[in-house]
Amino acid sequence: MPTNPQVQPNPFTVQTPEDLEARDAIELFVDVFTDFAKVRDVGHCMVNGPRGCGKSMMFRYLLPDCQRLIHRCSLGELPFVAVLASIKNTDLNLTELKRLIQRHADIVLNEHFLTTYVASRIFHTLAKLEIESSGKNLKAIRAFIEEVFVSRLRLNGWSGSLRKPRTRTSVTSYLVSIREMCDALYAEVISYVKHLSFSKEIDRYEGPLCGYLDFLYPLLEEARKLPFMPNGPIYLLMDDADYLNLVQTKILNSWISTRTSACVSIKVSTQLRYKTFATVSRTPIASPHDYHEINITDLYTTSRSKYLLRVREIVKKRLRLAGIQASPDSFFPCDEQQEMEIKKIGEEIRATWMSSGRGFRPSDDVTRYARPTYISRLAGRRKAGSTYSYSGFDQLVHISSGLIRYFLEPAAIMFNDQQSKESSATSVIRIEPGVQDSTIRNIANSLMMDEFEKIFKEREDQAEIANLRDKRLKRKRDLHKLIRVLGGVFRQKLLSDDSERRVFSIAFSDTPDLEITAILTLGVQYGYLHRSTIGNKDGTGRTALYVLTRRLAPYFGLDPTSFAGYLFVTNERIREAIENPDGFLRRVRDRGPGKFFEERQLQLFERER
Amino acid sequence: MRVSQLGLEDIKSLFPGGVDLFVCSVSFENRCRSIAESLDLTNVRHALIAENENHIDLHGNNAAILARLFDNRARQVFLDTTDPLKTADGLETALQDYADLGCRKIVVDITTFTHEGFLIVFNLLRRHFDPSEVSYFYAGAREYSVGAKDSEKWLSKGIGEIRSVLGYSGRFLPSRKLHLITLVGFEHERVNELIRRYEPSVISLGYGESAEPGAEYHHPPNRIGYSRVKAVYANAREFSFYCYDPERTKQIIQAQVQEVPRTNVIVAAFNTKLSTMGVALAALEDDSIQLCYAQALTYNYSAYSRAGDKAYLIEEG
Repeated sequence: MPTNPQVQPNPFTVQTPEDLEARDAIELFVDVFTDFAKVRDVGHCMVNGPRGCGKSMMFRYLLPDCQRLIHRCSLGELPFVAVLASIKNTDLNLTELKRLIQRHADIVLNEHFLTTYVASRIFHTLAKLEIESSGKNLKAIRAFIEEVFVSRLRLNGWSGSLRKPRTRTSVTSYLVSIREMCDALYAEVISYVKHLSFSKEIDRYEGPLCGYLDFLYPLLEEARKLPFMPNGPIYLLMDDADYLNLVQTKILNSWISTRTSACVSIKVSTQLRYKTFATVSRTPIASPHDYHEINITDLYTTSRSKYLLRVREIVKKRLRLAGIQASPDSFFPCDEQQEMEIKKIGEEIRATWMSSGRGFRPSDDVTRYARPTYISRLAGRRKAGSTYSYSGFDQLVHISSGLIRYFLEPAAIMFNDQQSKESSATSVIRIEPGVQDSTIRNIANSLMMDEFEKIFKEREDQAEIANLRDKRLKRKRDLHKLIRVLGGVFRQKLLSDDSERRVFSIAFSDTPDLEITAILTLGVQYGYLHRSTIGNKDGTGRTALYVLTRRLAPYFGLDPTSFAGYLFVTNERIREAIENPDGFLRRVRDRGPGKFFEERQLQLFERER
Repeated sequence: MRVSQLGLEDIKSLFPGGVDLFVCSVSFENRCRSIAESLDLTNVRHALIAENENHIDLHGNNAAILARLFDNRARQVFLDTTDPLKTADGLETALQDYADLGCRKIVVDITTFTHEGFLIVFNLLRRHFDPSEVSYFYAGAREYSVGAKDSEKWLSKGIGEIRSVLGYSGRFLPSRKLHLITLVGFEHERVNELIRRYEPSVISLGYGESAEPGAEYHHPPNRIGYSRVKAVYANAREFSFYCYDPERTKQIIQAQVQEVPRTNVIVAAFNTKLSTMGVALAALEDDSIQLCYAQALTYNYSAYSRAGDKAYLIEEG
């Protein structure tokens, strides 16, 4: 298919951070380490967040090529040297390895595989840094190869011969030869594994076996003493560790449990599907004892202003790099007619505040009620063309629910659609509100319909939970019902006369039982809910708050903007809702959402007395 | 590989010397019977009927109908779309047995194997039998996602587990970047998800050649799928391949691999089985290439395809 070189590049297309040049990475990166300092500090840590929340970009920024440019210094002057070992989907997790499960050398072979993979990544990174080939550096790297690298390999059963560097006068050449030897060790495992494809009989593996404590750690301890290396620790950045198989995950946990972080700090990123926290000896690793835990979305879903600021910076940079002279707000304009009408409603509220105001100031009531009133008037009209427009930069940021990917991917589609609407000679300088609205609505519909369809069909990987498949499927269906009820109740709340109409969350005034907790946890896992905490009703502690993703706002016709309130519910109410969603929504509508939930809380309070 | 298109009614007169073994796969699509029902059944010594055990409830009477066609000459082998080891072991045992019985002339209907099942059976057949004695059939569809508008056509949705295909693990080196080559079909949403999961450094999106005979009906919806993928991954490279010509597709894949040297190459085939055969041939010739399979979460069971009256015959040479 021919490509048109004149086509204006899409500023929002997805690029893998790993492949960005250091200068581009610095240019695009928005510093978030003030929010997540532990990622940059010494110590093991686990960075959790859904795909697309910026974990890989953070890791990219920590790599020495970026750090040297930022600090304008040599490698040796850096506070640490970070190495990226990105776990792609099938790099290490070959199907053939399943033949070894609980059979021949399962753990040691997987550890050797993982170790040689990481070792190769380390020397690959160092080899790209163009380290000065001074006499001192050359002498040190030669001694390192012979006295440390080769000697460690021999201790681990290697009987090969040293791969000579292409030139003996370049440090890089020596580093390349170490990397090539690590690659060869890795390839040897693949060759062995290939024999397992169609054979139920398992041949003995007779190659070397390198582990963390007997090979990688001592190697890195010595590598730190090389004159061109920093005095600080080595950071192993294990990106997307969810893709390791179960055995490899346990092995990585065992590495973390060794508490070697002063010399080697392991930074693991996960997409919230990390397989286990158990080590190979079955004892689990725990935070903060063994590692620090960072949940990226926790911060950005609770601090909206911070998130809005971050997205604004990212979009500004992307537009600038694409040569588009527009601010984020003018590039993603809101529906002017709609905003004018909302403003008019705001003026009405302001004018009547003295007689019928509810807030402390007129502006409070305008913020609280102008947009919900507009949406509720649209609902009353029920005619074609009278739907709320989900457009405008701020609104799109709110809908992206604290996850930059949920802003950038729809933006890429919008840009593409806008481009196909324009004549070929015209550059895209703004995305029409209609294009924004239709993309965002399609995504919301798909999230509630297609995505759930997929979730219902999803297979449970682990054999040990195969028996629980029916139970899991029921939970998934219950989750769908719960989301439907929450969206429906929040919509009714928005259209009501209650004092707080913009509601996106629920909190429990009692303790949810195990089943309800499991359904809510599933909702968090799939990204339909976000879990946070708030002070409980009687002020004696905190209780869990479950926030519905704002990505569903267009599906339920909700107002995604700004801070929203929450409803206190009981376990029993949620059970009723799941058992009969339509009946529940009817009863909420008949009684009015405010009264319905208040009544219930009163009963609960009375019962407790 | 030589490809010829023929009417289903022409199949009966083929293979005058007899067929030692006929291999096919049961499916929810009635196309799984098209070839078997067109063969001269008196001419077939053995039949190996594969069936995904975890999908039995979707297959209706198709397994029973196929078994009846071959009567006591039929042997059933259970595969599992969630367990490639079970699939491989079942097929390996059965094919070894037929090789031991001296079977030489093999006819395989690849139409309704899953892509993974097909890749495994293709690999095993080449290990056990002389490739020049194996003939493959692919029964074409008149329409996919029957009745849906071009922009709404779909065959499967979602991606469950992504795994390397058994026997095609590739030879990756940790220091190399990842080059993902995909043959895009209707499954644009699955391709997008695959790219998200792999985060490859280089993406090559293959687009079915529209001028090819047989592709004219499927070209417009495929093209829509392609543009949806390109919207998000605009930096992706592009190439054309042949949906119904394995040999030329093999060469195209090889050229794609060579165009970005020193990378770890993964190929994901989402188009026709014939193009998947081309991919398999490329990977068997160059074992550094890894093939991956992205398990679908759900299929368009009720309207997957409408059978056509044509078939493709693929033979070595």
